[in-house]
Amino acid sequence: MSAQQATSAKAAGGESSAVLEVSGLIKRYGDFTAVNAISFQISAGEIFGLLGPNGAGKTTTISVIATLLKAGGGSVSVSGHNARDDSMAVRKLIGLVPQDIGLYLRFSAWANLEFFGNLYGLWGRPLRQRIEEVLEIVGLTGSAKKPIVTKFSGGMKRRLNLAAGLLHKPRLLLLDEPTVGVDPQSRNRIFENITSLAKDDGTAILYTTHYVEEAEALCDRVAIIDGGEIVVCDEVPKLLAQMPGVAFTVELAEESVAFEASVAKQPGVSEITRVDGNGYRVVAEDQEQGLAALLATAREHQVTLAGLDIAKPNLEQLFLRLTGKALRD
Amino acid sequence: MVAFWAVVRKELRLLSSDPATFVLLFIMPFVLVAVLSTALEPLVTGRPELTVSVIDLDDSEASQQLVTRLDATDGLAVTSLDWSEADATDDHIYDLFGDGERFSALVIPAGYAEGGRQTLALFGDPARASYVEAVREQLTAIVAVDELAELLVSVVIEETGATAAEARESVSRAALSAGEAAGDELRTVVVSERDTFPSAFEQTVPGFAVMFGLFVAFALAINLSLEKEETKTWARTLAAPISQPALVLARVGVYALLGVAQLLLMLVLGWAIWGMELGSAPIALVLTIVCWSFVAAAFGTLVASLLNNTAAIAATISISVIVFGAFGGALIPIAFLPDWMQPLARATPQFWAVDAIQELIVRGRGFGDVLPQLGVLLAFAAAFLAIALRPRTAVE
Ligand SMILES: Nc1ncnc2c1ncn2[C@@H]1O[C@H](COP(=O)(O)OP(=O)(O)OP(=O)(O)O)[C@@H](O)[C@H]1O
Ligand SMILES: [Mg+2]
Repeated sequence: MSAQQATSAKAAGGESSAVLEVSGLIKRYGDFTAVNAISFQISAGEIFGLLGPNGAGKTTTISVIATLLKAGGGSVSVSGHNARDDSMAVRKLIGLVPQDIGLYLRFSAWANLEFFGNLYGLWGRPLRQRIEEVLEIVGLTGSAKKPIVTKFSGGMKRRLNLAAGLLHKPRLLLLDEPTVGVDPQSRNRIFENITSLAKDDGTAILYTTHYVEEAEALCDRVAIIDGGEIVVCDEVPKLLAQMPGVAFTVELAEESVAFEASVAKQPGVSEITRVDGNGYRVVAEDQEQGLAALLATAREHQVTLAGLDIAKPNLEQLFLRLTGKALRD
Repeated sequence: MVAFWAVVRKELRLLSSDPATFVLLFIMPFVLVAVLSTALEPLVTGRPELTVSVIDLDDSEASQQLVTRLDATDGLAVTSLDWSEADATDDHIYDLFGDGERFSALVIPAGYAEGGRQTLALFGDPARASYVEAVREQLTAIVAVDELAELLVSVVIEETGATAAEARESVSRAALSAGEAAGDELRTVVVSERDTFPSAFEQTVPGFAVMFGLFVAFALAINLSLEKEETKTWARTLAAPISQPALVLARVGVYALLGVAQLLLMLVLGWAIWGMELGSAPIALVLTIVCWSFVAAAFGTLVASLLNNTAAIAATISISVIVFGAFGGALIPIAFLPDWMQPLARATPQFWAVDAIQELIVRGRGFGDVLPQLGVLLAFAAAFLAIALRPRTAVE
């Protein structure tokens, strides 16, 4: 699929273009409900983030989609094939990159890729070519023939782990925290390639992570998941727009008793708290109003601003606001 | 099909980088079979020579005659102890047994000449009950024959009026010629297509080979369980479009092949080292081995599908090797098992495998004679696989 087709498929929206459709999915382990009635869709060419803390139910969700676990309720379908009734068809369409390394450590990288390629019916020359391609994607071309994967560094194993899920050009790629322990340079390269898989090849991508930066940078849409439930799900800019306002931190050059009370009275300022010394945290409804209020008050009271920071809203703050918990402990 | 062969190659590749499995499958069983078969050789081929210490306190003509008779008996060696009446206390006699060389002692008390066999006393080492029992049986038979002879002598005297010496002479002559005649007629008829009796190794090695052939199940189940526990390759494989039966059959095939190699090696080494004959139907023998190896691999698959931790799997299969080996007549020949156990033997696949191999090696039969056994073995393998592949809900 070309980039244009992918974009148009995405733009068209609606039921027909959804590669993955999860609706009302429930998964229990005994009495414990790990995933509680979650629903979402991913279209061709879309990178969908599942952002949540440890134990949120991300891996469980992926396992059900990958037909490794059977749903306790609700349904999963991939390109119209139901994961429960038609699991073989679903398996052909998906590529799974498990959270833990799914590789034979006693084999070479090449032998690993050959085996997983074979499982998808690839062999001979097309397979060899494809292996070269995915090694290129993850930047392991030089290391493929190293005798055994045990000798790889943690980050190299992760990259090979990712490569093994790409061999058969899946229509839906399930990436379960694929970049943990990967160095920034390799991570950027992987991001570029994931983006290209989506935008150029039209692959639908489900990407789980507990890094907000990754979700914001990579994903078109993000669902925030906590305790097995989707708290909120939307395009990243729209999620960020949900934040109540903009937070500033202000540092005054000298002490000013009147400053705090005066800022609080300005229009658009919802909150001011003294942080430490002459520092304050100010929350305003929007950036312009907040800035105007701060500058006007400073001029009025003849105080000099020693520092001013605008804390851009991010998903971490959104998570905190919605769940009352920090995303990372 | 590509996926099937990929799993086969993957398993072979995993095995080739795993020396532990090779030791388990090829070296351990061979060492065990060698040790056990050598140890059991005397038990299987014939009775060990029985030795009895004799304490003759009577010192009469009759008692000396008895000792001579015992000494002359095949398979029974006599050591006479020159003890006085005072020496022959129970405690002193028991002391004889402590050194592990003497296990039985016959006391011929003063007054044996008059009192007859009822006065004899056999002492035995309780740690060697079966040995003592064998000695007792021998003694009883000899004494009974002697008494019968005495009876005959008295009948001869009564009927013919001969002197005692003459009567004895004629009875023993009659007994001798009767024995010779019997010796002529009692040929040993070996119920076998072979012309020789099987050697000890030919009798014990098939059973042990079958018993330890179950190590294939051990290797398969443990390696599978480790793969599930240690890496996520399993998740990856299950998420790929390969069917469960293909996945299972590929693995079973590889391990069955290992089992065939293991058993063939064992038999060939048995032939080379102990001169075992391997029968006259090599193809039937190989097919039997193939069937048994499939059963073993299928059994490993079954256990791995029922239990989900490596330690439990290892314990279950180790116990199965011994228990099914014993019940199936692989560890101990069926004939030695108690009556109640014998019908149960048929419920184990081991029985059918040992039976088939014995038909071929020990009794020299051919392919047609072992078809039923092979059928039963394949049925076992199919049943194990069917249970292992039963539909399950949550995987992992
Ligand atoms: N096999 C299992 N049996 C019982 N409970 C389980 C099982 N697997 C997962 N859970 C529980 O289900 C919940 C969700 O687990 P899951 O692995 O899906 O979380 P996650 O979002 O992937 O977390 P992480 O970021 O740590 O990978 C957790 O509370 C976990 O303890
Ligand atoms: Mg997880």
